[in-house]
Parts: sequence; C-alpha cells; structure tokens
Amino acid sequence: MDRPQPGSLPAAGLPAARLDGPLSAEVGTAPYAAEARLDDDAAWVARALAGDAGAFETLVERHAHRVFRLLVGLTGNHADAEDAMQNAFFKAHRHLGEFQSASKFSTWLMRIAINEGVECLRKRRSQPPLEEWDEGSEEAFRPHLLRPWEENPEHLYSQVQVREILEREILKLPAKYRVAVMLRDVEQLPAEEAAAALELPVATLKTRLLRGRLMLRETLSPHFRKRSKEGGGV
Amino acid sequence: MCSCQDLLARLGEVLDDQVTADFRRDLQEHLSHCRRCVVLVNSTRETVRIVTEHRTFVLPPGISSKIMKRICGAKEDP
Repeated sequence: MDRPQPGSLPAAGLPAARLDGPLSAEVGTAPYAAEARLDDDAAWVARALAGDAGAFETLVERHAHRVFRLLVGLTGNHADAEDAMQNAFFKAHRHLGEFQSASKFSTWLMRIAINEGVECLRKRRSQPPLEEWDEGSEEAFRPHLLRPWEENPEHLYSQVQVREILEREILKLPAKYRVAVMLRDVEQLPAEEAAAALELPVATLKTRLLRGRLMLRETLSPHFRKRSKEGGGV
Repeated sequence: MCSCQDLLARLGEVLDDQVTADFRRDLQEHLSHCRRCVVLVNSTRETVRIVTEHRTFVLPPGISSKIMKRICGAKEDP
C-alpha cells in the first residue's frame, strides 16, 4: 500500500497553533510541552481529525509494532496483546478529538494502550495489577551465574532459535520489569519517553529496567555461557 | 574505591555509558582484579545487545487491516 510521506503535507494542514499555544496547568508539564513541539505525527492527527481515514490508518501502521510490544510486555501473551491493541486503536480513533496535543500523540496512544493492558490483566484476575507485583527480595536480582559467555553467543543457535529463547525468557519476567525491558531494549524508546508512557519517574523506570536486565541475564546465561570449563565461574 | 555492591547498584549507568569520570576510574580499578564483575558487566551488556538486535515479538499479520475494519464498521453501524 502507498504510504504518503508527512513531508508532502501542505503546511495549512498542520495544527501549528495548538502545538505552539499555551498549555493548561493540568497537562502542560515542561517535558510534555517540549516533546509535543517535536511531534512528527501532528500532521497525520490533523488529517484524521478532518475525517481522513487513510491518515488514521497511517497512524496505526506507524505505531502498531510499538503498541503491540508494549502490550505483550504488559499482558505477557500474544493473544491478549492483540485484543488489547485492537481496543486501544479503536478508542484512540473514537477519542481523537479529545487529544490535547500537550504531549506527543505516541505518548497519548501508549497511555490508552496501557489502560487496555491493565484492564486485560484485571479481567484475567490471575495476576495482580502492575503496581501490586511483589518487588521480590534483593536476592532475586543478585547475579548467581557468573561463567563467561561465548564470544558471539547467539551464533550457537539459529536466528529463529535465538528469537524463541529471547521471547520465552522475556515473557517469564514479572510484568513491571518486562514492560521496562520491552520499551527500552526491544522498542528502544528513550528512558524519558518510556517513563512518560508508564507515568513513572525516570529513576523508577531505570531501576526496573536494570532489574529486568539482570533477571534476563540470569535466565539467558545457561544458553549463552561458554561450554568448556576453562572460563571458570559458576 | 568501588566494591562489587557499588558496581551492581550502578550497573545501569555503566550499561548506558553514563558514568562520571571519577566512577569510571574506580570501576576500571575494580574490574582489573574482580573477574566476577568483569563477567557480570560483559554478560549484561551482551544481554542488552542481543535483545536490542533481534527483532522479537513480530506483529501478527493483517492486524492493521483488522483494526481499520473494526473502526470503519463502527462508523457505518449507528
């Protein structure tokens, strides 16, 4: 399908006044205001608001992967992530008129997706909401397996096998650490953007990210460490 | 002087290359004699690299069309 380039849009279609105008006290924190001015979705949002279904489809295509990974991170499985993703885009379309441009469209969309993911967890009831996950003892994050890894560890396996191992072990992480790893390392969002999407202080996001990385390192170690005993360690 | 505990607490800064010059000096000194911490730093760095480089969790095919179909269906459905 042909995807029009944002740069080709006429300047008249840009909602410049809304992006540059004063921000309300409730939503206009400085970081949000700064990121809103750099929102490269603004033109597509303006066209979608004007009734252009193709423009909203472009927004779906631009953000589908990120939203999907965020929701896999939250729900821990593909099927729930797919359902929650459909709901999130449906709601984003329905409420697009309420989008204030005080933050980036992607941040606003991710907030909707997070609400859908949390709702999904609540319905499942088998898992507590994100904030109620047990922090676990410090022992859970202490490294135990300390044998050196192979030089190019993933070369021990095929690409498909590496992907399977990674997906399996990432899905085993507790949700609050998994979602941090998904946003920062899989999706490669800047820490500030990931923290804004999760409505967390950047420091909290970083703590969760480190814990997630340490837990993942531990579970990947048996797959990737040196096979011989020469490296020593546990 | 940097201990194993200090390194673990600040490993996030090390991985994101955000350490101060002073801490970097202490860290290098510590790593020159602590083999376990060398393994920890290297294997955690490798963990991040592998996760970043392998595009996991591929989008299910046709999902964008499904979403647009649902949106367009809802518009037509009063």
